[in-house]
Amino acid sequence: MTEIVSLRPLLAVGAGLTVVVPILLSGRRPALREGWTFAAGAVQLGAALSMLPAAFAGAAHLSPALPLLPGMPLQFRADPLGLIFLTLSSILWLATSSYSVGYLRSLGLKHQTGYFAAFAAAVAAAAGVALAANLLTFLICYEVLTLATWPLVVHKRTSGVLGSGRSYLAYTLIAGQLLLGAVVWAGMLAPGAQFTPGGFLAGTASDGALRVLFVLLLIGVGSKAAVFPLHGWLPAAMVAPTPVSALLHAVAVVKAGAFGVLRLAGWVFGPELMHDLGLSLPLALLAGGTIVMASLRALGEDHFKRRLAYSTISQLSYIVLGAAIGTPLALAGAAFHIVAHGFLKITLFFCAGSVYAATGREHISQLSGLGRAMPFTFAAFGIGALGMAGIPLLPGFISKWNLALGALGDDQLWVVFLLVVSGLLNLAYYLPILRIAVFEPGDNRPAGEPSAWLVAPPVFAALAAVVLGIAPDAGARFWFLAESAAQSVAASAPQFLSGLGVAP
Amino acid sequence: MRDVLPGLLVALPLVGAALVPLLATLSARSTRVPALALHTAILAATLGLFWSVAAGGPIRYAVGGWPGPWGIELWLDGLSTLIAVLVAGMACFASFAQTFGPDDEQASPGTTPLREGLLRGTLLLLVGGLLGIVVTRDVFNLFVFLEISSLAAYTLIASGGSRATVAAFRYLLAGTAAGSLYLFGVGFLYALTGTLNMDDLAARLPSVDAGAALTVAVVLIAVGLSIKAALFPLHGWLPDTYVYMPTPAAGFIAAVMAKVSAYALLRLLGEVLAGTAAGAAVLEFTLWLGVLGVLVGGVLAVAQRAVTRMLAWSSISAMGMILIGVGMGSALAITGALFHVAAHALAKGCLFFGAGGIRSRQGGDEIDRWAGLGARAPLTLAALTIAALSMIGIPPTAGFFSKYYLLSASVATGGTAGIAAFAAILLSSLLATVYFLRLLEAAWFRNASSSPDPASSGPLSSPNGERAAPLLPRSLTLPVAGLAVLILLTGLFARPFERHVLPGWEPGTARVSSSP
Repeated sequence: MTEIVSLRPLLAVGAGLTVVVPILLSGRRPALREGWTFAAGAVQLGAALSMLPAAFAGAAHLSPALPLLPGMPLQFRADPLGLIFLTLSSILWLATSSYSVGYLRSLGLKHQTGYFAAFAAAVAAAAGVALAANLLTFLICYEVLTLATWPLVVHKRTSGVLGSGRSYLAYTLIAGQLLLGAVVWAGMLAPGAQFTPGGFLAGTASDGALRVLFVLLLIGVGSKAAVFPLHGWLPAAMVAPTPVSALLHAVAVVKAGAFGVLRLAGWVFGPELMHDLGLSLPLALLAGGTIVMASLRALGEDHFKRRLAYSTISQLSYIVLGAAIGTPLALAGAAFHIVAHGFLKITLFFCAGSVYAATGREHISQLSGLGRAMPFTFAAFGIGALGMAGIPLLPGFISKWNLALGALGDDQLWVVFLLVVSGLLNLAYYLPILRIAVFEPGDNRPAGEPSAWLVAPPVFAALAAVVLGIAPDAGARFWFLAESAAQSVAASAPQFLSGLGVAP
Repeated sequence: MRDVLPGLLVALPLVGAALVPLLATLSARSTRVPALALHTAILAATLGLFWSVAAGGPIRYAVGGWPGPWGIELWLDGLSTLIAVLVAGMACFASFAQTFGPDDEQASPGTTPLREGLLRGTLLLLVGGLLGIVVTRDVFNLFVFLEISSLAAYTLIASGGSRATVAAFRYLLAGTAAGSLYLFGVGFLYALTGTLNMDDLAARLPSVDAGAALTVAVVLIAVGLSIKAALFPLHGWLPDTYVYMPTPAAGFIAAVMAKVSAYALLRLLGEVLAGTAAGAAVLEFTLWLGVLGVLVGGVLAVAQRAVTRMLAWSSISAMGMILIGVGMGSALAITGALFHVAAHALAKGCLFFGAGGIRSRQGGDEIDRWAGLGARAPLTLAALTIAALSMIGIPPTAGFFSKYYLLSASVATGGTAGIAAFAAILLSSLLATVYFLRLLEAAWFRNASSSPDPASSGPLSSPNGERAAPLLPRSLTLPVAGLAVLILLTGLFARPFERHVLPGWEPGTARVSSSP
């Protein structure tokens, strides 16, 4: 892959970071303060889009290296996988920002300045995770992401909320320490620890040592991805304001964890080494178990946002599953699922938040009658729910279809079965929400759509999802990027993957 | 410059220590400027020497023109000038706090100009003693400077009030024992080799019959210095001392004093006595004690409810970390240990200045008293947050990189010791996460109304809606802010810092290389 040294990756990562201080300083003038956020979002999106043509041509923008440790600089590279995540988070950051404006103002929440500042820092850190060129850069952005999200999670400042914040930090920072240890170790084994398609660790240490290293790294990234049994913090973190939950799930924290698992499997260890070490099947089983268990928990959950949280745990394990299977189609499906889940889940969270902002209701059993009162919101919700279940013409179908094909290529029939069961479970816990909202008669309290700030973002995200489901290669060409990312991994291990087609 | 500055480095603070109290008897205000100017001059001298050593190699300076091994020599290489710059720099901050600040709440109200002058002189004496330890090439002379610095420290600590006097007395007992043990060790060495000069010692030791006497000497020296370095389990004097002494002194003593003893330990065990079997064994043992100290210090820091006491236990943990690096002894490990010396000095100085100021302003030291401070003084708390994050080791602060080097070194060391060091460093970061994030959570996310006793919080809680006084007095704001900036700069320029500021270390021969 040819590399173009340019400042654009730095621009993409730095946009959010540079507006943190201006946002904090313009706390008395909300219009200006939100202006900073949108300006940074536009710059980040612009930087992401400007790097796409190079990726379509098989090249990658590479930032200049800032030396931090011997042989390990702070450096960003816009490879296809990173660009998928970066472009997605840029688009959704803009959507979430406009949603946040409506949400915070309609509920009159306090600490709005700190909220927008931490939001910008968190998105910048997620962009850094996306474009990190080596393990050290990844680790730094990962830790910054954890801390930048903390003020968002504990936004309400009550003691119960602070407790949830502690639980969030306990999981993510303990995992962060293990990740630090693993990064140091990997850096000793392979100087530079630069992400390489197909991995860079093969043959650097004994099998046993590499297995231990894999487990450390997996715990490090997997706790953010909420892989069972490291998922405990995610439902607790639902105490955050809804736009924050949307950010956590669709763009930043949980997604960054799933992205990290993909990087770990494809660019640190590589599918071949994972197979040789016998790590693929256990990881796939772990992901499969997480998918089923989280879906079952979602079935019994009446709290609207917590049901969505369990759904996220389940859905993001698709990405882990794809990473574990490691065939090109599975990897492409997993990479595409980052986008698919991003658009779909943010739609769902926006809808839950709109319901709360308009009516103050937080439980699914209280939704009766709202479908007619809030038609746009629940139409968007319907699209999101069906997409999650993997109905064709919606993006969730594309990722699942390719995951299934990829699993068949590796003779893992059980994965197909699992995907079908999971799709049914998705329907089982999403459709009742729609049924209650649309068909059950509501009480007499009048309720209507909230302000346009709260309606437009979910409708936009749902429409984007439809477009993506019908034409996955339109616009930013997410499918193409997912495929070329998977192919770059596959190209490094020809004998392992011989005879597999990579057509969608 | 190279001919004069080394001598001046020691002479300047010692002479100043005598002159400043003399001046104080003449005028109340006249000691402020001279004391601060002296500290600035000392810092300038150390920086000049650092630059000179980096450019032109190490400096050997014969005191009074009497060459070694008969006369006393001073020896300045990359290692000693680095520590000297740290000592002099932190002393400048402490002197600034001492000069422009109202004293701590524990200071007796009957402060007189003479008393102030004496305290300023004592700080100069302490700096002189510490710089002497750093630059001397004579093991007996090192003892003399050790005692000078200790006596000055006892005085500074005891000036913090009645409880501080008790703590100072306890430190005096431990410090005297430490000094005596060290002196016995030096006596054994002198009996064995007939010399006190470090180079001469290193040259003669291989030909000495490595019997029990040498082992006893090494162990006595190591134990003596370990007490002063607060290496677990010889740390008992530290917590009370750090908690009760006045804030300007705490910011300085907590930042550098134990580290200078750790430096002496590295200089003697890692360089002068490195060729002896006993020296190697003691170093290995040091590593294990460091591992224990890191964990015990961290656990006990978590158990504290008072902020300064928590910081004190965290210092014990940090000293364990530094001694893990010294114990491993490889080039990478020494880099990590020295990086940690610098990172921890900056962060702990910052935190002690800040916590001390907040303690006197809030009328108490409990973590709850920090509730709501983030909203009241965001910039001050931002600076303290940077220091706390560096203590935890969150990138891109300096503390992250020192831990990274130490972790790398323990992976390279391997074996049981390497794994233990690796696990201990990670665990200590976790413990630091617990105790520092608890503090940050109170400061940023909890409301001040939950503060237990608002009546005692002094001028800030004046009910009549007056504009509240700043959280920290001006004299502490500058040290806190300056140190936070230094922490960030050291982290962001970690690689240049490692290459150009930290000295090289050649394992095996265990000689500090001439230029960084």
